[in-house]
Amino acid sequence: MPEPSPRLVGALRARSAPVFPDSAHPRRRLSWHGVLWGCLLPVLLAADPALAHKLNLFAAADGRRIQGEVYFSGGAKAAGVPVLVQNAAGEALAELRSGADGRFSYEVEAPVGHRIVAETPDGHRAQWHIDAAELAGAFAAAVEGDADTASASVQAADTAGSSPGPSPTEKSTTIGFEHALDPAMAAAIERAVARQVRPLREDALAAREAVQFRDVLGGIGYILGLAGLGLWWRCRRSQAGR
Amino acid sequence: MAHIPDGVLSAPVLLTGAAASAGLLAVALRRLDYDALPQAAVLAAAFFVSSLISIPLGPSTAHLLLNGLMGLLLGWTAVPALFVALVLQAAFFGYGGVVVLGVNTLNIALPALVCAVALRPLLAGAGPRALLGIGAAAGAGGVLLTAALVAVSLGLSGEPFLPAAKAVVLIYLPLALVEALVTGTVVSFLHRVAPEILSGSASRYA
Repeated sequence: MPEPSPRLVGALRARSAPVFPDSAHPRRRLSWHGVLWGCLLPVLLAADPALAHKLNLFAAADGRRIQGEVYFSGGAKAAGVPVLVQNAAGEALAELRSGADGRFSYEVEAPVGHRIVAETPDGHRAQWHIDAAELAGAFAAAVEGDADTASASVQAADTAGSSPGPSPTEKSTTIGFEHALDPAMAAAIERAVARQVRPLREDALAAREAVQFRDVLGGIGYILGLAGLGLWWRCRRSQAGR
Repeated sequence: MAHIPDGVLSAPVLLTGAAASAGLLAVALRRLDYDALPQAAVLAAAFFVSSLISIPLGPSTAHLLLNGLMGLLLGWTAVPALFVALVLQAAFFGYGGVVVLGVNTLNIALPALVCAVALRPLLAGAGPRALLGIGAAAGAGGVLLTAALVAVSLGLSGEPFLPAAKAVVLIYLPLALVEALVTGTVVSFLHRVAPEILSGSASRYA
């Protein structure tokens, strides 16, 4: 082992030395720093410690409408952020701007996949994808609503009469049952479920994006480990050179 | 923002940033000062964690960068320290990204080096008041240079340059003031508590 470097010894010695080795007016200087930190601390404390420097975007279909919000991870709403709506091929469909509460909404024209990109001018960016399947419900209801109402109600009568309990053809009966529902009601159920599930999805996203305490500890551990590795390497080299 | 995410910058900017960062890292590792490793680790950890404490500023949020302080205290060793911390931030927090790592490292490490070259020689024999000034200059200089580099990277990638630059400066100007205050305080505190750290950095300046 090499002996501790003079700088390290100096640091250890300095710790036991008086705290104000060279200041003639320690009391005055201390108050000057007190003033500095008095100004700064409120700023730091006012900041939510969970806030983080990353833009997030959440969007979900609500009937024929895509509703979403833009926020910085930690929850601060991102107001006035340009939001670009694209279809799956990447063609721009609309350019929106998030409101004061970070929310935006877009009226969907066709049941295709949508890509939503939010980008602030200073280089934050987030995106979200909405599948065609998520929008299909609202549109299917409208299409079938005109033509199939009569046949659907006939099917409903059939299935109600024929199968009172579970049967080997259960799969076919459930499909029949889905068809039997009034399309408007099916759409309403889909909307209601989507509305109920939405907060759960938002929470799940927030939990996934949130920085956990173990992430912080892990990162610090890596840094300490790398520094240790560097010092060990140096020891090895100086031993080899001896 | 200092951490530009993936998908914003264009390929030539990404390649240039990666090449420049790799070059800086190679030089820094060749002249690595092993005595400064514990210090570098502490400062890298501080940089890593400080990105979690964000202050809402204007239309965005910002956090302390500390790259001026790191340049001032570590010199060339600041480059690997910042690189490691940025890798870990991308891996653990999702700030920045893998592809833009080079550009982000360059944007943050280059100002640190500028602070090291311009301000470290002044550290030796400076009085407490001068040290406060040097620290403040390093803090503000690090932040403002990073802001300029971020705006340039965005501008070269085809973002409309003026709005980008305006947004970046709007966010970074107040941050530069806060950072100047913090760095100045830290440097004068070090001068009182462990002055040999400062004189050590000055004599190690190369």
